[in-house]
Amino acid sequence: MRKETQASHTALLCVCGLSQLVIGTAQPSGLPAGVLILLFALSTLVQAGMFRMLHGRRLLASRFFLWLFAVLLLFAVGYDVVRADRFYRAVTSESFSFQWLMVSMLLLGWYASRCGRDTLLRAAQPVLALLLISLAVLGVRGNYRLEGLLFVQPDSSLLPDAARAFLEFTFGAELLIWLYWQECPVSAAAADKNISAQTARIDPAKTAGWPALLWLRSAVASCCALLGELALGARAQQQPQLFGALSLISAGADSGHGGVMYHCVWLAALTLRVCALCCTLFELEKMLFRQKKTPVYFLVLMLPAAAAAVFWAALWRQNCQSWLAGAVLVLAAGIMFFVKRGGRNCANRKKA
Amino acid sequence: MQIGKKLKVAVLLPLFCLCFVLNGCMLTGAVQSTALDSRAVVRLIYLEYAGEEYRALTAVCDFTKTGEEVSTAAFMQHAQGSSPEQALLSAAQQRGGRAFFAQNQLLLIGPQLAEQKLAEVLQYFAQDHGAYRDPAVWLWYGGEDALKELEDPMDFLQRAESFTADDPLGCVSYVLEYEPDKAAILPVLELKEEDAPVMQVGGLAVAEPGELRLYRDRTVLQGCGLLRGRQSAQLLTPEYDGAVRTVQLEGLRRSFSVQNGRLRLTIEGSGSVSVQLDESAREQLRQTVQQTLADQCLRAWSALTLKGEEDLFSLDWWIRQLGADSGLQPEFTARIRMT
Repeated sequence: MRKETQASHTALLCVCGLSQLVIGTAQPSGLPAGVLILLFALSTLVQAGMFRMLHGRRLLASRFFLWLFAVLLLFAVGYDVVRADRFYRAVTSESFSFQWLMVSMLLLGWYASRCGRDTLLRAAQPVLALLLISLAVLGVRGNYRLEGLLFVQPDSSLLPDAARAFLEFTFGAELLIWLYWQECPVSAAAADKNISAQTARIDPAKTAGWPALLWLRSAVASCCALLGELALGARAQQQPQLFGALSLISAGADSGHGGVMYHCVWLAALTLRVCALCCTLFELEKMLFRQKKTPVYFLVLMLPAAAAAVFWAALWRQNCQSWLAGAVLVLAAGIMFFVKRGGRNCANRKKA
Repeated sequence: MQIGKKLKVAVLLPLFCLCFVLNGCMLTGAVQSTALDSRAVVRLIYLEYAGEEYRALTAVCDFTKTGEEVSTAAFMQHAQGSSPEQALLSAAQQRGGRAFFAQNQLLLIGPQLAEQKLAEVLQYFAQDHGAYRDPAVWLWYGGEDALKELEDPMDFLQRAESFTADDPLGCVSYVLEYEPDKAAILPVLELKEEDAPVMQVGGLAVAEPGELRLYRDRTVLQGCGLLRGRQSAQLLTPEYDGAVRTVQLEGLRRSFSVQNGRLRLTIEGSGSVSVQLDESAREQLRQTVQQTLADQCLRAWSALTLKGEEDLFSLDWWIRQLGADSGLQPEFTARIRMT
């Protein structure tokens, strides 16, 4: 990977990660910042361990892993579409149907996947700059009180929420695509039929910066949790859209624009994230079906993604988090299993 | 192959462009949304609880445009409902138009509601924030009729809004500042009609489920602002040496320390006197001012936290942070630099 590509990949990764933090989930976290910070640290340790296991493996050579990867990304796309819908609903009073948002986001994702990864990489840096500026302004303008910080009292009633937050943070989709980009750095290569034969192993030298990146991610997430609690105190853990609430307060202080500037930037970042996921998904599907451009891809990509979005929407409406946690755990176990298997196959092939 | 390519460019590309433009219009609300001047723009909400029902009164603004000038008029509309949301929406939309709450900055609460259903209402406003801006909370004893019979509702609205923004005593709280499961300090908004209508803080009330205690003492009001660290300036008129002196205090802030295991809250700041005084007189005046400030804090603290157990000013945080002995009763002092 050339140096500037590495930098723009990192920028895209940052946009993906930050947009996930800023656009909240449907459920309030229900956890004090102290617990969240502990969870983030723990999850980063787990992630670092996972990445260590991946060193020297050829993930893309395993067809099953490609499938798993694609399915995970599909669910991630659906999840993000639903989150965009929740955010949109929380910060505006416009009525806007979920179907339209889904169709437009997926269309955009499909368009992005046609444009290719290079286009996204070029778009990433300005969006990242805007995102950082918006966060800096929010950080400066809020009315923060030290007394808002809560003293953590660990309690077994926090466990379900903690498990959800842990899973959500550990298996962020941006880490998946990062992994994929490392193995398959140039988007032009993805168009090639024999991509899986060409991919290199995950090179320990190339991945030296990973732990630092992971810790940075967890540090930023911790700062966001702290910011929320400093501004809102115990109300922070009850907010489904923590940053939405912060932006309303910050903007409401003197001007009437209601934080629209923040929301525009954040939605743009989320859109870029969805585009990046779709693009990666598209590249994966090209590998899986070993064909070049046909309209079938459109259906192949969009229908399951739409199905995934509807699945998440239905899941959230019924508020069954244990379901979600279970599904993610099974998927994670699946990944680990196939990573191991892929490694063994690799070793066998070497012997032969 | 050639034909296929041409077809793509000629038909598919414009089609997709059209799709994106349409989607963009839908997303930005250009298709379905209602313009602001044809919506019911709510600028003030009054909520009361009576007979198992919520009563809501909303000030809805109308815009009329004559040439370049836009004039606004407010209309008071009221309705009832079994939930705050129901009452609010039916009050706001009485004269047609979808309700728009994003410009609302004031939430007036009736005494019955404050006593019985405050937590529910604050929770509603804090969570269901679909474009609610975080409004300031006032207790309003005037009742619904006083608001309905206002001669010029728009004038009342503007006065209330600017008074809330000025916040002279540092006692205004916003919905998101109220912590759940904690007693709430509600400032009382009063309209005083002398020569001209004037807004003022009529006191402070501490609301707990099933209980509402009201304090009208001005010392308590000032002390409350100091204790919360919101009041940065004060005008004191202590009597000294047979004459009333005017002391302008500025840059007031709190600092916390621990003295003999007890939390000590010190008010720091600077004061200036208009007349020339010699060194010893200045020193004595300084002592008087410091004593007054410490008294204000003590009065506010002992009045509002009636049993000395509630932690209304988040002192508990500082006690734990600084490692003072448990038991809330803090010590209040002041340190003023006279210039």
